Amino acid sequence: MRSEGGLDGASPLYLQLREVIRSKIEDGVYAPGHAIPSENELAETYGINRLTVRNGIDALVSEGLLKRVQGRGVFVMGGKLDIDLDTFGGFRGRAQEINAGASVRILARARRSAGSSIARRLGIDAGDELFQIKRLNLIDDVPYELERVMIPVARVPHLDDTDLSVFSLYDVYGFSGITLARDSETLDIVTLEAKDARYLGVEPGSPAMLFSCEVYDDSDRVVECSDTLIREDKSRFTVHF
Amino acid sequence: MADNTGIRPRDLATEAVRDLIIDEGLTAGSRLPSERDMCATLGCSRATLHSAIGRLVDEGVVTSRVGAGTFVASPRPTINLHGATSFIDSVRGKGHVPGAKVQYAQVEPADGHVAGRLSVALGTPVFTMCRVRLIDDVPSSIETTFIKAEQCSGIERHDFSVESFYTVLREEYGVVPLHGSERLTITFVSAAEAACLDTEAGKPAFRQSAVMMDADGVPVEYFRAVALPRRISFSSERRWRHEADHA
Repeated sequence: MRSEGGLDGASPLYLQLREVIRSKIEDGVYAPGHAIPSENELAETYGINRLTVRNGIDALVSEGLLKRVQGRGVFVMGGKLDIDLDTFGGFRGRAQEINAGASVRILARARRSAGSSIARRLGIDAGDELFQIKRLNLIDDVPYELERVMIPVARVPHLDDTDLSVFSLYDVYGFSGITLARDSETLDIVTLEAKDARYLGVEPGSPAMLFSCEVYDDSDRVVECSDTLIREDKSRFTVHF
Repeated sequence: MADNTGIRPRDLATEAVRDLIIDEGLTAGSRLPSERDMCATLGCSRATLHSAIGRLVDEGVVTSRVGAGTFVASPRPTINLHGATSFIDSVRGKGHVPGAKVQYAQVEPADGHVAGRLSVALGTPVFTMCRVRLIDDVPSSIETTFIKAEQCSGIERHDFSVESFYTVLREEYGVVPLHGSERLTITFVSAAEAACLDTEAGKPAFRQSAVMMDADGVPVEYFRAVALPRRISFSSERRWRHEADHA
């Protein structure tokens, strides 16, 4: 247990709040890489004003435990998994993680054996089982991306029981004790066949970006691979380096 | 080929062809089985197989020659968007031969767009060079680069069809584009670009643009390119940072 630094009821409210947030981070209530409640929510929860909340958060931001991200909230840095916000979204502008109107529609999920080519991407045997999830990523109900994600069953045995409309795959990796380290991405331009075009709301034969990705954990094993078709008019990747 | 997974027959066929290439140990230049044989093996229709082959051609996995059949392609050069490897190294890395044709190289006054990117006044003299990049002598991209002329006086004397632009910049002028931001979108090849690239106008292609800065954060180069997807692919990497890395 960390010392509370001698704080008691007589301490300034912002310092008390700071310690409340700190202990929630330490207890894992606020998970690394995730946003903490908004200033308004914290103000309401603890019956204090927003300025006090902001001061409490600022203290933890300057300690490096929290990070403010313009337009997205305040994120937990400390502990294990944390997203490098300088390069987060790297070349993919990951609109759905930024935009409040983002939603995901699961189109299909299945268990299947890997086959040689997917097995090679995942670093498993061709006969090994994987979860395959096909989903449509939308922003304000406009389809942007049609995605197929493949994950070795052995890595996330409980994925079957997880409600993917509530939890993201990244949440599920956290539950399974997986720490993500990096991903490797390639981009191509391909032609959309009729049914994929229909999902994306564009003409058949339209071009789309094909984004192929392998995500690695901290022991450099592949956690998932994915192929994502992104509408041409929504395809914009920006990389800062 | 039965599909209870929500995956299209075309995507299943695409994956099956990839599996076949691995399982049969086929390498670059190997010929794939005939369409009829593949349809029989994979249990799919001709139309589905055609569509699958079309996707694999787009992805640079195979090449298709009318009358001759379908062949495993040699790997395409991959351009790293973080600027970690040069075009030349990327091409050589995949066992290909890089080349360039200089379309023009001259000092001209900056237009509004270029002036904005380089943070200079309208009309500032800028060395402008347009090159067609070649891979094994085949055109693969058109690159246009803009550098403030005052930073590289006399650079137009060099022949950048054979010399490395960045080596000259660094060694002769001490200009080192170190970091920047790069953007990638889809464009459609114009008639003029199509003529340079030996392709058809209206084909989709990568549109790459970047503003590069020196160590002090001063913009030193603006760069844009149109690249043919069947010739070049792009890659990037993303890292999650952990507590220990901060130490």
